[in-house]
Amino acid sequence: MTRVGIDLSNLFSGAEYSQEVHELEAQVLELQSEIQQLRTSGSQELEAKIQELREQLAEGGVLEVSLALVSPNPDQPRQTFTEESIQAIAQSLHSDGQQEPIILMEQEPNQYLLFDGERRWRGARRLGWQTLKAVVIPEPELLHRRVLLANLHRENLNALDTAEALVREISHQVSLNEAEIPRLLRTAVRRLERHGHLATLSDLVLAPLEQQRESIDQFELDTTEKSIVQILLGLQLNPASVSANIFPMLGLLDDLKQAIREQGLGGMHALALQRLSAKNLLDKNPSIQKDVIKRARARLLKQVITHKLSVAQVRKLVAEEISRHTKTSKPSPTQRQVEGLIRNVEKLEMNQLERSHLEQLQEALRNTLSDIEAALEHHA
Amino acid sequence: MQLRLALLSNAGGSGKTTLATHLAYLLGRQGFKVALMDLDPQGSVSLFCGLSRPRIQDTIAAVLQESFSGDWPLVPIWQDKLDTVVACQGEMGLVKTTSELVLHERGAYLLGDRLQDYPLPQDVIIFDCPATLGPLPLIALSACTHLLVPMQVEPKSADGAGKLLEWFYGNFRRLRLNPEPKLLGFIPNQYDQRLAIHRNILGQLAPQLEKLNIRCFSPIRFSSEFKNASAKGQPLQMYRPGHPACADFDPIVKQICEELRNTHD
Repeated sequence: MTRVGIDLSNLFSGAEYSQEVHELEAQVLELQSEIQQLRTSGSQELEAKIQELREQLAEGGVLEVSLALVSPNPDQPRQTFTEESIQAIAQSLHSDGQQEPIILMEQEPNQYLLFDGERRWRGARRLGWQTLKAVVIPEPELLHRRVLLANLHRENLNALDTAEALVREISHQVSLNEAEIPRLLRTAVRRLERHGHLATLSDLVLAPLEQQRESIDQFELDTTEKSIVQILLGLQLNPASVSANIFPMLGLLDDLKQAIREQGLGGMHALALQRLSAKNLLDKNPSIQKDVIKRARARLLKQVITHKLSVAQVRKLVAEEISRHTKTSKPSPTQRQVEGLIRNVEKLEMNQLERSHLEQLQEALRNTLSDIEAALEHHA
Repeated sequence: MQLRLALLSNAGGSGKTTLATHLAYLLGRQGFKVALMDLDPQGSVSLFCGLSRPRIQDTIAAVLQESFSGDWPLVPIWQDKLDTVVACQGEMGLVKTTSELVLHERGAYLLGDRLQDYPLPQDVIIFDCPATLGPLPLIALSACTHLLVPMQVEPKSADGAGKLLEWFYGNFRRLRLNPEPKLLGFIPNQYDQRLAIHRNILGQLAPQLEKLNIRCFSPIRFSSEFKNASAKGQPLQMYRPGHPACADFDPIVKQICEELRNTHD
């Protein structure tokens, strides 16, 4: 017997995610408004605060950022950069190296706006440096992506939640109807497969964003498809495997979705059980009963969870169950013959028949009846 | 400052109205002036407080009309015991209000606007909301200062509670609520410790909420006396003062009193 219960942490994983995003957003907003205020106030305190901010951000890691990815901030209050001051900072960078990281705002993946350090940026470019050390203030939009990324690779997110989160994220970024996204991805993946790009695709999963984008540009995809593939790769997910293994969860029957959420049924297990649906069996057996199949599915589901069956075991079980439903109810040639015969006899309107015909029939049926009784005795 | 408490849940039968009426009574008994507002088209507050079915012009629907001029339709409740608690009733007509809210340019903020333009003298306002997350819970969310989530310890309600939190955080941002309402906590409701599934869910709920930094109050036990009391239009404390479940509300009342003291400082 299994213990009664549900996995609450599964039901709350979405709540944890939204709380995390919510809190990070609040922090960023506070940070930015604080600096904004300071920029209008005294300059000495500003430097101190910027230093504080820099230290705080440095806890999240100091990056080496390519100078080419950085644009100057049009709102930068210090607009004059004299030739001498840039020359001076270039010299200092050359002789002492970079002392403090510059502060950047991330605008989109791999696009940064300078928040603090424009002089050093200009000086470094003059020296022909390729990169500068930097700390980054994340933008709210990207916070979403970052938290999603952290969550996707966390264990307690099941395939169904992952599918829902991904579809939400994609529709958020590309403004597509959530329902269309799995179909669009499927078409895109099929085309990539035809052109033999699937291996490239899986190599791109862990590649830097820049390289991902360049490769995607070469693919035979339209703009929307490119965006979807880009978002998934950016989250370190292989679009082909998302399409094959994750998105099908969205089409699961409600009872299976519920079992994933509340009883910890595995996604692949659910897909195997999904084959046992009235819709699926209808061509093989047109007279199939919807609730008979539903009950059979419920029975197998319980078995799968109680005995913790493997996916292969589930598939085997499902195949057996399907053959049972298609065999017993698929009429064999003899059965069809018998049914036809009965129908024909029942159809006869005896009152309309001539006496001689009736007598013939009586004779034939009487003989048949004794044959049947003999055969039944044999069976018993 | 006035404490405005919204009771929200994302599943029917979670005990919102039971909680709303009991808190109104208990806070009223402490001497606080309380207004209980029924934002549910079902109008269950009327039943639970022994009021007759109101005319549409005597309900919260009238407050949300363009023509409202500050004449709040408040009726005293449990008058033979208290003179501190009033109710603003709900009724089927609120269904129509719901569709009007969607079109109104200040739709989501309308209730807060009314309370600002035509302030009520009460110390506490309690909003009892419908179970479906639509325009009516939204106006309560934007108008309230504090939130409480009653929750049945059942799988469906647990799932709904997780989604409710997502709805909170999403709408705090979308409605730009500043300050944001304070989530006082979750209240496990109709708890029957003989049921394994109740014990299972309650056992997981507290650590799960702690992770999110949300308080989980001790549960309010299941008792059919709650139903018997509501049929008489009374809170349990009035119907059967000696019943052990009466004390289950104490930690919640205590927390609200503390919040009231803080807002007065």
